[in-house]
Amino acid sequence: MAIAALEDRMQPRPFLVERLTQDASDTFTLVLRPQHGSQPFPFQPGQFNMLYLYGVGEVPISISGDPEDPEQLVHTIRALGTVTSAMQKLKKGSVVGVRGPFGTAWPVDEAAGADVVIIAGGLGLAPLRPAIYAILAKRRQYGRVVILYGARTPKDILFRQQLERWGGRMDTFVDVTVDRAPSDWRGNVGVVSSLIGRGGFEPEHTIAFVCGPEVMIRYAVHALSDRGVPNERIYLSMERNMKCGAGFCGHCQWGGHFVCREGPVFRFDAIADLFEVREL
Amino acid sequence: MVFHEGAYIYREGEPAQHFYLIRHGRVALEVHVPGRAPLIVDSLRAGEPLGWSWLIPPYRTHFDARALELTRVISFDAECLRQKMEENPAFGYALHKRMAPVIAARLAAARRQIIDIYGRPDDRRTAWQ
Ligand SMILES: Cc1cc2nc3c(=O)[nH]c(=O)nc-3n(C[C@H](O)[C@H](O)[C@H](O)COP(=O)(O)OP(=O)(O)OC[C@H]3O[C@@H](n4cnc5c(N)ncnc54)[C@H](O)[C@@H]3O)c2cc1C
Ligand code: FES
Repeated sequence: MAIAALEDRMQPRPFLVERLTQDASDTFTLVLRPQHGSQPFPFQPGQFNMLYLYGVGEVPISISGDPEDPEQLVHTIRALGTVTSAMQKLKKGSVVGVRGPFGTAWPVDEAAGADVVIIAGGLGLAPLRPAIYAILAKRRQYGRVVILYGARTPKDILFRQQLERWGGRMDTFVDVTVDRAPSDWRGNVGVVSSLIGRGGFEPEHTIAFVCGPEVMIRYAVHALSDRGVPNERIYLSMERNMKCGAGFCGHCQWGGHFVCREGPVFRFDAIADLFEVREL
Repeated sequence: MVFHEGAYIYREGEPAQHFYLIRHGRVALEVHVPGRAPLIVDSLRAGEPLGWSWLIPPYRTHFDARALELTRVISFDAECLRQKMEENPAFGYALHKRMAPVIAARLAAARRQIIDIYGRPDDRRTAWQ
């Protein structure tokens, strides 16, 4: 790779915080715009950026915004540790360094003509939201569109109003479940994989996108296979610690794969054997 | 039988006198712990059997079952069913064969729920919880 291209990938570009909204007590959405000029930031659904908080550190975060609106760079973040907790305290006008976009994308265009089943757990809805935007923007190109979402409790449901809006469309099936709920909850209680049977999709003509905690992905993939969705039509997004984000350092190695470059979105048949290995 | 929204179909600890199949509506399975707000631990829909305590001694219900919306169920007398199963082992086996996967699936789901997969990870390796 030419030095200039390498520098380009490793050099964060300064962005300003336009807005920070609190989604749940420990989850927030950051809307960024470039500090200099107004160059759009094109990306594909499923890709991520390395977000750099000057003096604190850098973390990989998926883009959760609309790919049709590249003027706004949107990320949804859970405050977990040093960097993400510091990010939660950012104010309008604060500077964040951005490198990216990196990684593979959900095969939104290839799924045209098929039924699409999107299964998300917890914050896993964030990396899938750009794919949902893209699919609903070209809704007629797809068969049945099914969005299944699982969260811990009703309070933890991400993008709740949007889920309700999508579910209100006649052409989209949305079902949400939580692991436990107070008695005033009127929705489903149970694991997200239990919703799969209700989607009404044709398994052999389905493309499935799955993102969430790894155990949830495993159960969802098994449930999809049990229904007859072929492994090569199941895509999932993996999360591993990263440093360079660009395929140079090997920090994100998973078996023989570099998650930052060959992932985070993988076709299930390509990694099925690794997926059953316990500690990687 | 029809249960209006909020009506209890049965309460925890009662003798399981009926086997219900949900025809329409939704039912919450709730746990009441003294001093704590009630918690919904499962919800069932049309087409699903409600409860299996009627099949397994000591035939006592494990949860409160409450209609989340107007719910219609088909109800079978448990005592009568059990007697028929004793008298006619082929029928008994057929019914057990249908109920066993339901019980197994609910047990597996319950185990997945308690591992709290969306909770804060200890090793901080993942955040998409
Ligand atoms: C492809 C991909 C997409 C992701 N998308 C999202 C998303 O959309 N939303 C989301 O919330 N999360 C996402 N994550 C997870 C997110 O990257 C982690 O939660 C985040 O890195 C945690 O960083 P932290 O500093 O807050 O936590 P920590 O656990 O404190 O630190 C994690 C990493 O930060 C660095 N670091 C921080 N402090 C120190 C220190 N004191 N010493 C040394 N190193 C330190 C290290 O590299 C360390 O591995 C994604 C991860 C991947 C791989
Ligand atoms: S993070 Fe450096 S190679 Fe993937």
